Amino acid sequence: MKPAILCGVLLAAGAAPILAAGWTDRGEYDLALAIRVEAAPQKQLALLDQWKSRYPHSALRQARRELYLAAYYSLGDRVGMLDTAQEMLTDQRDDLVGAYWGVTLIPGAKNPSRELWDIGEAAANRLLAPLPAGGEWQKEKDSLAWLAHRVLGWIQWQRGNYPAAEAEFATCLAKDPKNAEISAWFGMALADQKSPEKVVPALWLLARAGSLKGEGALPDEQRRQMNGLAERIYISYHGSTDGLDRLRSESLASAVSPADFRIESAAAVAARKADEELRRTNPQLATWMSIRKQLEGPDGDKYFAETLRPAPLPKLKGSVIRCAPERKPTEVGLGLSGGSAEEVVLMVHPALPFAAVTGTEIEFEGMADSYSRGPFRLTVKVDKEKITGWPQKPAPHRR
Amino acid sequence: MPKRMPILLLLFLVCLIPAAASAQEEGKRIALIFGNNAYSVSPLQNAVNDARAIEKALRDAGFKTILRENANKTAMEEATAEFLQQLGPDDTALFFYAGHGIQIENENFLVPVDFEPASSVIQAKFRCFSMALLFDALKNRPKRSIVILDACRSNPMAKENALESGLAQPQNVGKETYIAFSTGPRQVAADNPNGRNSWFSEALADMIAQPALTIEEVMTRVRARVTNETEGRQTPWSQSSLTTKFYFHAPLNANAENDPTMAEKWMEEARRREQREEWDQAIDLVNRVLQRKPGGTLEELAAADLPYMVARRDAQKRYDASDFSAAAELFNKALDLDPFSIEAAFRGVDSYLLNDGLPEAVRLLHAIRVRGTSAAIEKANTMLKELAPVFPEAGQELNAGVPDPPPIEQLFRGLHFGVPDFDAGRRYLQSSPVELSRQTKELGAAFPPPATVVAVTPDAVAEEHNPLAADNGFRVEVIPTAATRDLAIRRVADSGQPQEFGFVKLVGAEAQVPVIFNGKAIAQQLPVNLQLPIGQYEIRLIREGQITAQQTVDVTANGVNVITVKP
Repeated sequence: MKPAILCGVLLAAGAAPILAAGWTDRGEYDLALAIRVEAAPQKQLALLDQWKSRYPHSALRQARRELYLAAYYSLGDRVGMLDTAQEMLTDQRDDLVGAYWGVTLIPGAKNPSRELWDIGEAAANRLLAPLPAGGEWQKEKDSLAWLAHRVLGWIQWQRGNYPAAEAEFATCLAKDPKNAEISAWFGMALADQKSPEKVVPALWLLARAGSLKGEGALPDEQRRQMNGLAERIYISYHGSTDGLDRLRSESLASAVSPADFRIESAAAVAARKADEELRRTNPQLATWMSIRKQLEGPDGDKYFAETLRPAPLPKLKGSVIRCAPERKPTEVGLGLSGGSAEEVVLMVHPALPFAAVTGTEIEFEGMADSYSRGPFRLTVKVDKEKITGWPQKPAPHRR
Repeated sequence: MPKRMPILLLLFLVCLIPAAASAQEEGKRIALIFGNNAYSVSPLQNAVNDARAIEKALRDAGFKTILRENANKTAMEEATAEFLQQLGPDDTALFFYAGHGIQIENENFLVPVDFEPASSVIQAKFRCFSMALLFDALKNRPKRSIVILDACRSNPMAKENALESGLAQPQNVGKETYIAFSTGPRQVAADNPNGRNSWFSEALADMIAQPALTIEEVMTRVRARVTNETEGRQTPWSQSSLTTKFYFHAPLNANAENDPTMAEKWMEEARRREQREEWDQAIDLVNRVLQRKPGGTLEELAAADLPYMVARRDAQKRYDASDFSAAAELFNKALDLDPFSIEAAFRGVDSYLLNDGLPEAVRLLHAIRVRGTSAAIEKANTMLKELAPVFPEAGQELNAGVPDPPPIEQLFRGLHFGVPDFDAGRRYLQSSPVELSRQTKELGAAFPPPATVVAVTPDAVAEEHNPLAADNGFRVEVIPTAATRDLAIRRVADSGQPQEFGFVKLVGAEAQVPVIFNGKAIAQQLPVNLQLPIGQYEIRLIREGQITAQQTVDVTANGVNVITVKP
């Protein structure tokens, strides 16, 4: 084989450099020096391309990639930077420069893929592992860990692994509570789950992301975006923007929502308003609904024993469902909520003179005696004199 | 050969094509570039080179380019039609022309290479390319138009045809248009016969390549440079109705005023100035960087560069004043400050030789052989060979051989290989927010506005006919069961007692879905919140007359039942 051909084969195979300091030959050094002299990043890139095509397997290829990164950085070419970082990590999985730029650039990558997320995750874990002993690395240790949690949160969010994303974002906020970008991502990851219990903390975070100003704040355009999103979710959940301004100002107080923080859902608002309306238009029914709700609640027995039983019931209204016995009834079944179900049984003393027809509306006052949950029934002892609306005479017999 | 469609008609037809056809969210960048040299009368020397230089700069700036060299009238009009056809409403259109231009009756015309002297003004108009027609075609078509004419060159054709030289101020220009001329209206520009490019195009191509400059900043710099280079004989002119900033190369952050990377841009510009040996400007920029105190590597680099640049500037001044002794010392100082400045080393060698400083000159030649490129080493060797007969140390240096080049780590100031520039990373994070538009849009869609509350009256309950029963589309039907109906009827018959209600909330993606209550359409859109008399109801999803799903719900006083509907 001729020497010239042999030389070519060796170069192509990535043979050991001929010169010291990793240079393959003088031509490679000339190219690097030309890049140094060139001020325009576009022209630097053209020269780097020449270097890459003439010395693809150069021992200095990772250094060359760092020069690519610098040139792309100067041009604001995010895609070029990320491609280069990816190339560095593919070539050398624990390359720290590639890992640093990978974790910096992966959030918001234009065409993300599972492969890219895997690379990002590995890069983040590399930054969380022990770093070189050099001063610069140790000085940046905390900020690198933060950056790693940021990208891990982003990746887990994109993968739909919400608990992991939440944990990563919470770690980031614990270290940098005024970082509106993380608040926004965290809020969006929570809202993404579309479960009612996540909506309230999501709203807190989104409102905060849109309200934070100064260091750590989002750019104006994104603040507007987050405020718009917070408003939409708030209206969807609460039914109107009432209270949203208060949420925005309160959210500035802490990075995440306090444990006791609540926002009334639209359904709760509607129920509350309906309840208020009922109290205004039919206070007796409203009172009964409240009594029944508490009796059916988890503390129903306590409520019955401590509140309801010791004192006389307020005057209530119901419609007769049954009377027993037919003659001189001492037991009257009533429906109070408007349905056909018997909710209250009046134990009347002395007996009523005759039965009333089904549907007859009466008012009564008495003392609660007992109650059962299934089927629901409240038994009340009533003095005959405390019943009003009982017919004056028996209903005529049907022919 | 098939008969060609008249070009004017073709242009007219292109104007009629709906611009929305090629709409894109971010918009394309499309440029049409002409360079005309080959005139039979008064040929030009640089217009084609200019067009090529601009085409390259625009291509680098993300433009799709259509380049035509030495175009006759037909070729100009065909290329223009091709250009216009590609434009959508979100696009940026750029038209660049280098060649002869004339004004006829206050209207601008570009001169194709097949132009022949005309016998009348009207004939001259028809033999040229009308700018008015181009402006008209660009109106309301792309998002923004940029028209740049390097066409105001001294023009004997104008004289021959009794026409005025220079271009007229354009009239009837559309909105969002930027117009630039290589010189002011009715003035004449120079072709720069001793250069490859016109002053204007050379400066323009150079400035387009720079990052983070708005088009206005590009033109300001072009104007300054051309005015300076032509000693005030030519001042480029521009006019703008743009309402948004346009960058050939976008900055890392569109809001350049608050751009944390501004110092980096000044440093890059300083390096460009350095490359052109514009030392005062370079020093000024580096001083601005240092005043901003960016910290980290950037500040280190600026602090290191400043004394080097000052030494180079002062050295050059002393050299130009023939003070070679001082110049040599200053070049030597510059080389000490930046050992890879081979240019400084050579100038230092020159200065020392002009001042009889042979040993110092050889020392600098040694420095060149240690760090220079192959070409620089060759040049240094040639000098050493010439010096050897009179100065033996030169021969010894030559015989000592060329050392291996230094490691890459020494080459690039401000770059620590194997350690990222953390400050640059921080600036990047600050200036490049992650785009969240897609996620925001998707999330917003997942949280529709709250359901409209539709209170269903007892009248509706009583209604039995179903007007939409024959409807083939998708709908939701709410049917009260007998118990409810009995209750409602009883209530209606009652003596004005208040009715109790609960809610059925029909949710799902926002959509047009008719909701039928007992045969009567009560809503047309989801989500909807039905306020119903308490009781039992059946909810049926009906597609093309068939029940696809059904569910029974108990409506209790103030209770809320949520049903998800999937049309």
